[in-house]
Amino acid sequence: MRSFYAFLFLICLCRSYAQEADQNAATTTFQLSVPIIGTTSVFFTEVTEIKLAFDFPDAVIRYTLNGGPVSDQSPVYEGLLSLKESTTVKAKVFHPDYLESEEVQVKVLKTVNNQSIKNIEILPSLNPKFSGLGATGLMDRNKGSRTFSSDEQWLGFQSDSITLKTTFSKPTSISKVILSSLTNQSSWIFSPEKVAVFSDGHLVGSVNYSDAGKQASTQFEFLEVSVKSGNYEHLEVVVYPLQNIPNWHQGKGTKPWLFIDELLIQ
Amino acid sequence: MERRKFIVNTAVASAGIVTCSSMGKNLITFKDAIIGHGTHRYKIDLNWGALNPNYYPVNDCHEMVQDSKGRILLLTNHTQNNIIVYDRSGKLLETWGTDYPGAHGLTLNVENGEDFLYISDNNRNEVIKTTIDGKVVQIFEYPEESGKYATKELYVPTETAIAENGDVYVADGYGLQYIMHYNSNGELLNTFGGKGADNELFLNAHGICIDTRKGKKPELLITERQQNKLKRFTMNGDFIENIDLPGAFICRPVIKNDAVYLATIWSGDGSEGTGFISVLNGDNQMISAPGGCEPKYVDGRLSPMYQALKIFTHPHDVCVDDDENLYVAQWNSGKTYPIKLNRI
Repeated sequence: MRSFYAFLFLICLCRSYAQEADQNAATTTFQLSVPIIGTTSVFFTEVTEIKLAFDFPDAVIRYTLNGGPVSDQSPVYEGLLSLKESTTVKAKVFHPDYLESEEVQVKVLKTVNNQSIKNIEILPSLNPKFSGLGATGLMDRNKGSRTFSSDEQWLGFQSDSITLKTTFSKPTSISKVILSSLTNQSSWIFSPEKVAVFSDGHLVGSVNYSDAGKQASTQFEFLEVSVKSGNYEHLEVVVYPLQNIPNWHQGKGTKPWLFIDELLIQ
Repeated sequence: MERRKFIVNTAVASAGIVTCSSMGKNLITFKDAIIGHGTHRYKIDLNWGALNPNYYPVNDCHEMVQDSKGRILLLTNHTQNNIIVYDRSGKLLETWGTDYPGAHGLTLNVENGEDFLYISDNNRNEVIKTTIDGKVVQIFEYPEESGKYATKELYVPTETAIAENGDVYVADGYGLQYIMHYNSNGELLNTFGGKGADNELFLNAHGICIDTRKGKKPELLITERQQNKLKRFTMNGDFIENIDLPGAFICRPVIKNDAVYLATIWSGDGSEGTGFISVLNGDNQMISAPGGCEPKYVDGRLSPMYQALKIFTHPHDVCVDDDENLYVAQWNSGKTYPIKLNRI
């Protein structure tokens, strides 16, 4: 009987401990925020630099450059990263006491120097709400920021398809077309379902994106479409946004937005 | 022995008996999270003021104040109980208010020894003055007489500040961005501000308060959230100075002793869920950022602020009690009750 009471006493102690502890949340309750990631230029011809930052005692930033996930074994960031090739940089913050952060990424793209797009005609006409710099903004190799609504680099569309009739200043050898886009599902901006490239009415390349309707964090995307190698004077890039916002989203059944800020060729 | 240490030790001992000590190690490494910097550091109480949402529901928890009796009042835009009154331990005392669908701003002012509340309502497009138990005593309707507003709907007041002489200042932070200056009878004396990016204008005049710190002549501190600035104005509406807080999307300024506290609803590039709390010293320099990175000044300028820990979703107001503990009300945070920060 005595041991029974002793056991009860222990249980009470444990309970009171649990209640006391609840008053102050433990470090393991909280996740670190994502590191700040910056680059001198997303589009570059020779070299670009990546800067990562997270000012928090005992926190370390780890990163990968091969597109793979960041783990607690990945290299620790110690200073500017100099990149000479197209790269996906992924980074996460780790701390001995707090939960590791989400992963952030930035993609940088090496482009050829003599980009020779002469003109882009956009159909349908631009949405007055997000008309940005118009076609010029697609050719200026300036990347839009995450604050899309106040950034003129971004063009926003809400239509069944968007056609970019692209004319080059001279016949140009092209193997790939790259469209730079934004995903921000909380602002009803989704990546497209399909991008197709036509030359004189003939399909020369296309890519389907089956994940467009799945939940994704806010990020920049490069939609790369390989085209039949050849010399082209005209190309029509047709973007097909998701038909409807999927059922899991509060905007279900309505037409999503598509945001693009740059068209590049390689 | 300190009470807390005693409890931890006891728990370790008892856990050791029950689980043959394998768990004991984990319990020892369990640490209280401590946030903030320098003189303003806090432990976090996530359970403070949590109630049964079936009986005492909240939508957005917009603002909080402490009254003369030491009670903590929460303003929510849920019309089942627009005001929820707690004691400092977070125990529910009473609720009232069903007529404030756009309840947004809550300011307490003591007039002849009696507490009064000024509620800025976004939906009703007006400011309502009530007694501490919710009796309406005065309504500041939309300021048609200012000549700035063609319709009532253009006026969306977010905050009030009450001067020593009873004058009332209203910030139209979600409307045309004017600041209205009334006398205590509700007569409009002056209108200043308006929409724009210039010094004397606002893009989002979300909050306002009266600053008499260090015994100086009263002046106004007005939030310009979109440009991450706090602006100083004279009581007559003349611009004095910008206080730049890059990366900090601040809500209203709340003064306690020498410090200014500002719930910071977003940070960095303004992404969702990136909030923290900003604390400024008597010289309006940021000295602590609970939930944020360490504030650093380079050549007299604050380096851009960003969130460090995901504690807050969208902090919308801070109430500072007499012991300088903080109570943080949040907008669009999944209908959560306030978070308390215990100063250490």
